[in-house]
Order: sequence, then C-alpha cells, then structure tokens
Amino acid sequence: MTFSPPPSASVDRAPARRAWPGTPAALGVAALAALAALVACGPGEETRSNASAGEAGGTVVIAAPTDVDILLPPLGRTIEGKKAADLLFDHLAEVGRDLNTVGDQGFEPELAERWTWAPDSLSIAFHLNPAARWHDGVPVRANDVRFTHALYTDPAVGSPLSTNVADIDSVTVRDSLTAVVWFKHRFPEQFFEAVYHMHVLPEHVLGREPRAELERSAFARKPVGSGRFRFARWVPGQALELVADTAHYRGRPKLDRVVFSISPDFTAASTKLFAGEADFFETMRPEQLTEMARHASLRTVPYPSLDIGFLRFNLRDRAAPSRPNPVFGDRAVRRALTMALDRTTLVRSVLDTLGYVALGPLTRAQFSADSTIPQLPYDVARARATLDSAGWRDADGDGIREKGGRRLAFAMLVPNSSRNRMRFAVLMQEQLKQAGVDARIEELEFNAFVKRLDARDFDAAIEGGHLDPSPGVVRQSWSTASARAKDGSNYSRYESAAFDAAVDSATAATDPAKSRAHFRRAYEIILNDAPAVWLYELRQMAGAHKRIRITGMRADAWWAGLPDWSIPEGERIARDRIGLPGASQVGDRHPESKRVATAAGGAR
Amino acid sequence: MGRYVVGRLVQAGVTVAIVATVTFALIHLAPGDPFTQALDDPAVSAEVRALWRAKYGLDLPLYEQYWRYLLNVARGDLGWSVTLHEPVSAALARALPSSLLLMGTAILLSFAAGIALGVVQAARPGSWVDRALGTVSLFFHALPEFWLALMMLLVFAYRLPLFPVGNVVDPLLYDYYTPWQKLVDRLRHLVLPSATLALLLTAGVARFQRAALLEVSGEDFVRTARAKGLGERRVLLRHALRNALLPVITLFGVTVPALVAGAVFVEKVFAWPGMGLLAVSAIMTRDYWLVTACVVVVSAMVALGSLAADLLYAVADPRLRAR
Repeated sequence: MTFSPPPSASVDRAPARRAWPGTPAALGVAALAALAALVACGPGEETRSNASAGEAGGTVVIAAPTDVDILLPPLGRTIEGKKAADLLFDHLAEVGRDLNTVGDQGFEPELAERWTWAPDSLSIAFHLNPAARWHDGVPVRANDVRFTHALYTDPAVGSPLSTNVADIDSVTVRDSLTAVVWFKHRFPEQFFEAVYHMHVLPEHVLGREPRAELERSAFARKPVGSGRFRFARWVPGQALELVADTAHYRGRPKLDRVVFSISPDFTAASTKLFAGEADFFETMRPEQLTEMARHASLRTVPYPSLDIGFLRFNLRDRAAPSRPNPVFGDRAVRRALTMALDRTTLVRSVLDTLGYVALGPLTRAQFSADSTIPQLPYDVARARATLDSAGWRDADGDGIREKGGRRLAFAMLVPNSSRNRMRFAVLMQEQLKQAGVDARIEELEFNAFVKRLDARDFDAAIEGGHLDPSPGVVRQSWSTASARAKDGSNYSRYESAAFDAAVDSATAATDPAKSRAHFRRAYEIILNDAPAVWLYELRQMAGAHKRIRITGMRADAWWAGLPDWSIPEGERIARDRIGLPGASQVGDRHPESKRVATAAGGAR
Repeated sequence: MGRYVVGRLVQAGVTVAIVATVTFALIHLAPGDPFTQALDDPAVSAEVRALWRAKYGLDLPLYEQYWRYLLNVARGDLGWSVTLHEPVSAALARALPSSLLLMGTAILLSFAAGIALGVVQAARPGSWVDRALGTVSLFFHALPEFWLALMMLLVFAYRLPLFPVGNVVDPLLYDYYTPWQKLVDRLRHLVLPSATLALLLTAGVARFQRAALLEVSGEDFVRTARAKGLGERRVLLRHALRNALLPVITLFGVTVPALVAGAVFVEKVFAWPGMGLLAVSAIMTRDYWLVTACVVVVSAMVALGSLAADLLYAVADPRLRAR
C-alpha cells in the first residue's frame, strides 16, 4: 500500500509573500490572489492591503464579558485564555483564512519561516526564523519547540490539549534553527496538528519550573511570549493589557496596545461600546442592532463562526440501553420530527439575521462545508403521514399521538445558561404540537445538564457547540467508537458503519477535494438518519468603532488579525495617543499621558 | 462584659464551623465538580481528567476530602482556586476590600439618609411630605436590584455620560493619572454602584426609623420632655431619636454581613470585583475551595455583625449597659 504525500512533500514551503518575486506572471498571480482575498472578506472588513494605517499607533479597547483563566497555553481551558495566548505566543505556522486543515495549503509562516516534508511524510522539518525573539530578548530556538512538545504531552503537566497532539511521536533538534516534528503515522492533517494547537514556549524561562506546578508559576500570570503583542498587565476581573512588540521579527503590530476590559454582565459590556468606553464588542445580539444604528461612530462587522446548535435525540432507552428508545429508536419518527420543524422560521425568530439554518454537523466556515447537501424538508403533512405509518396515531383525540398505550411525548433538556436555546425550545414545542407531539421543556443548570448528558439520562437535549476547524471533529459526537466509549460524547449512541466509513475516508484523503466529497457523503448519511435536528449556525456580528480598520477575522479566531488592525492617524482619539512604555519612550510617554489624562472622561 | 464577648466569640466559631461543614457537603452533592466545565470534553483524554481530579483529591471519599480540607485550613491554607488558578486567599484578598469599600459606602450613605428621612417623616406623620417620602421609599424598596442597577447604568453612564460604565478604575488610563486624578477616578467609579445599593437600602432604613420614632413619640419620657417646654426639634432629636435607634441598630447588625457578602447583581452590572461576584462564579464553576472560603468569611461576618449590634445596643441603651 502506498501513501501519497501532500502536494508539497519534499518541497520547501515559504511564506507566500516571499515566494512571489516581482515577475509579471507573479504579479498577475498576486493580483488574482488579492482579488480573491477581497472577495473572501466579509462585509465591513478590509484586507491587509487596504488598511492605510499611516503611522502605527492607537489603542483598541475590547469589551469582554469573561476574564482569561490563565496565561499559560498548555493549561488554558477557556476561549478568553486562547485569545490571549494567540496574541502573546506565536505558532510555528498559522492556519489560513479558508481554514484548510489538509496538508499545508494556505498555512502562513510564523516562527517557522519555511518547512520541509520528509519524503516518507513521517516528519516535517521546521526552519525557524533566525530573527525570532522572545519578549525578553532571547532568541527563539529549536530547543524551545522540542521543549514545548514535551510540555504539552507530559502527563505531569496534564494539558487538556494533549490529545490534540497525540499523533506526534517526538520533536528533535537538527540544529539550533531546525526542529523536526516526527509523527506516529501519516495522515492528511499532520501539519495542522503540528502547528495549530501548540503555542511555542520559552524553555529558558519555563524549563526551571517543576512540571507538576506550572499552574502555580509566575509565568502563568505574567508570561514571556513571542507574539506580536507582549504582556503588559492583568488585573483579574478588570482588564488585560497587551502592548505592541515594536521589534517583532514579523513586523510591529499596527496598534500600540489592546486592552480587554472585563464586564461580566452582557448588557453592561455592550454598553461600554455604546458609551465610547470600548471600541469593539465581539457578539452583538439581535436587539442591539437597532441601538447600533443610532451611533454614527459605530458599525457592525459580520464574521463567520464555528458555533452550531442542534436538538439531539437519544436513540437508546434511558432505563435499558440495550433496547432502542421507544420514540427515537425509530428512524422514521426522527425524520418525521425533523420535517415537522420549520427551521427557517425558528432561526429567524430567535436569531434574526444573526444565524443560518445549520447544514448538519458542520459549519459553513469549515473547508468541508457544502451548502448543496440535501436536507429533509419542512413538511408537516409528510411528517404527520410518516408518524401515522409508524403507528403513532391520535386515538383519543387529545391532540397527542399514541402507540401501544404510550404517548408521543418527551422532554427536551435545555441549559439555563443559554437564552437562545430556551427560545428555540419554546418555539419547537409549539411546532411539534402541530404534528401531535408533546415536547416538554426541562431547564437545567449547566452542570446538571452536562451530567445528564454524560449519564445518557435524557430523551432529547438542545446542545450548542463550538467546533474545531478540522471537520474530522464530527467523529467525537457521532462515530460508533464514541457511542461505545465510556467517556465518548456521542450521547445519542448513534451508530452507522456507513457514516463511520465515509468519515474515515474523508479524514484519510490527502486531496482536499476528495476529502470534501467523502465528508459530503458522511453528512448525507447522518442527515438521512436524523439522530438530531441541526437547528442553527451562528453568524457572528461584532460592534466596532468606525475609526478601527479591521482585518483577518477568522471563524475560529476573530482576533487572529488583531496585530494588523489599524487606526489612521487622522482619526485617533485621546486614548490612541498614550504611547508605549519603554526606555526610549519614557520621556515622550508621561507628558503625553498627562495630557490625555487631563482630557480623560469626554475623550474616552 | 469581657466574658460575654468571649462567650459570643466561641459561639461564633462553632457556628462558622457548622456552616463550613454544611457548605462543603452541599457543594459536593451538587451535580458536576470543578473540572466538569473545563475538562469533561471529548477532546480531553480520560487520563488528563483523572489526573486533575486526583491532583485535587476529588477521587478520595468525601470524609477524607473534608479532613484534608480541615487540616489545610488549620495550617492557614484555604486551598487553591482551580478556576482562577491562584490561592483562594489571594482571590479573597482582592475581592474583600472591593466589597468593603462598595458596601461600606452604600451602608454609610443609606443609614445616614434613611435615618434623616425617617426623622423628617416622623416629625409630621400623615403630612404630604410623609406620604410623598413614604411612597418614594416604598418604590425603591420594591425595585429589583438588577433592574435598578441597569437603569442607573443606562441613564447615568450612557444617556447622560456622567459616570463610567463599570470597573473599579479606568482600565486604560488609571496608571497614567496623578494621585489626585486616581482618587477622583476611583470615586467616579464608586458613585453608580454605591448609589444603586444606597437607594435600595435607604428605603428600608427610613421605614424602620419612622416606625420606631412614631412608637416612642407616645412614651411618657417624650411627653415629659414636651411638658418641660422643650422645642419639638429638641424633643425629637435628643430624646425620642436615641431610643428609636434600637430597631435601626438591629437592622444595621443584619446589614453588616452584606459588607463582605457583596451584592451579586450590582457587582456584575458594574464589573465590581467583590465577594458576591466571586462567590456566585465559584458556585457556578463548582470551585469547592473558593465556595467554602467565601461562605466561611460571610458566616463569620454574620456572627461578628450580630455581636457588634449587641454591643451597640449597650452603647445606645443605658438600661442594657447596666445589666
């Protein structure tokens, strides 16, 4: 059996910008690429080439409803922690805007200025940028990459991310600027696994810390990174401030600083934006869009997301898992319930324009997305007919169907942490009633909700999830292996050999086009089996001050392009002119800051 | 008096120990544990989940966990907050002063204003002033805390941008301020949350004070004072008010624990990092050690508040002092 290496195997990969010399042909390619990038940009966004920042400078205050948990990437457990880690620490390379996870297509160099695949594809040599420095001035070296892998996989550290790099066997150091990542086996997402989840960490700082006590190290609250922003201060529950690394090897950020200003209340956090105390708020709600329109200084910025919500059915009997669920064990019933729900109306009612009807267990931002996958239609008449054929009929005339003395009734678990999901539950309850189904709502505190899912103690549950860019993540929720594993999250216990095979083929394909075709087949199978009703996919909408030129908002990380956000000099306000701390700027900083401070209040 | 105080302190210690034990048991009985939200994810390996639970002793029987907790507390170690990634004592040290400042200001304002309003109302019972103040205080007394906080925020920080939206200090500029500007900045951030709480508390104090004053105004000693020819103002303030303070002192004793318990909704809306917010987030994330510590601190304050109220009675009432 032979294995076809990725298209770039044995070929040095270099940054796209560096690879394009100024030949007419190359310029033509560049122009096309620029056009493609413009098209790919969502409304309200600008490409890097469009951002006329003038002199670098300015401050972006981001209103954040949650604080970061820890500033040590291997131990981070929250999205807020990941945001900070992504800005403070560089990866070897960064996934592209199209979120392709197969091969190395679209990946952009960060610490590694280029990379070389081994002929057998079992290792990749990353050639580090010799100019890369830690924020304390020490050069970034291959030893740091080896150390980082050891840290992520050391059981003493207990990194929750260790499974994400489980296919990496080891990292060796060829020379001080070349780290070789060795894999246990060949698979299409090798490159993604090597670069996406691991933030490279400084051995000269962390190497002295006991591995089991990293959580308690000073580094965890005051890190030394290699990203384009460096750590300035963190006041828990109040603010996290990052400032530009002006000597960064990939170029200075166009902003001076980024401040995450914490407001645990959602309304208060958005009010910061409306009151001018913040410049950016990542998640506007439908009801806030009207308020946004009243502010000439603000604009909305849509961006893709990896968030979906779905109504999951338990296919096995709660009391006796060896038996099928009396309602959801029947595929025809599940399909009927799906057809009884008008998902377009549901999404419009709850999310207005901030959501799409979900395509299935995927999002439109993943490279496997395919909006032409056939969906079960909204057809109440057909739903009723299907339920009639399945033996569920309303014999006693109370509006609810019965079969063998059992009413067609079930409870939908909803976590009380999600207002949107509760709204969906209420609307679905009404729609299902039209088909003769009695769906009750059982609202639970989040931990209790999770416990019930873990114990498979439910009939139906409305789940929400933030997917990984890799479409292979569908295995976790829907594969047979996950259904049978004690800790698996296929809570539905949906088992389909055909689905598993299609996903296996998709994740084994080294050609993205072939991979997409196999994923399409997998999605068709699962949509026809209907172990869930995929309800919505969020269309995120941020609110931002108009003076900020925003670029590079990826579905998996809207903050990825923050170092390239800019504020044109002529549009800066007082807080944009604070300046940066630093020996060379101390003299400038204080007179300016005092001037700003004097003007503070109205100017903020 | 000394023996009485010592006796009450011992009583307080026992109460706190019982409360800590019950809290420890209850929070462990609730669904989930400190790692449920963070680690019970299909992407996290079973080994990692087990490692963290073992690291914090969650794999041990409950009685053993409790015993270890008691030993640690006896050594002055309140434990490690697994959600905040810092010692529980550090989290408390940060939240407690914030709560003391916010609640102290609010209680001071509300008792000063409440007593004054109560006196004004009781001076002319049934008058339009009494009725108007009674209606207004009842209105604020009935308002939900979170609603009033949001309204204060929307009116005074957004529509009329007189005060900042939230936080203890300006998250961006504070470090660049002069000492005087820092003080002004702190006070500006304190105004809205403390005013919100003061508005809610004042109404209760005023109603207590009015009722108490009206009750004592019919007493013999007040009639005697009037018979001696003293002016009405002097009768009210020098004779009646002192006796009418006892119920308000009781109310004060009940309110003092709020100094440390904080006010969850107000703290949340105004991003004020106090004890209320800390305790609620600890409960939501099942941060066992943080929850227990918060409850211990608050229950200790309840006991001490009750003791303080008793001692204040003695100061205010010579009859109690004599006993």
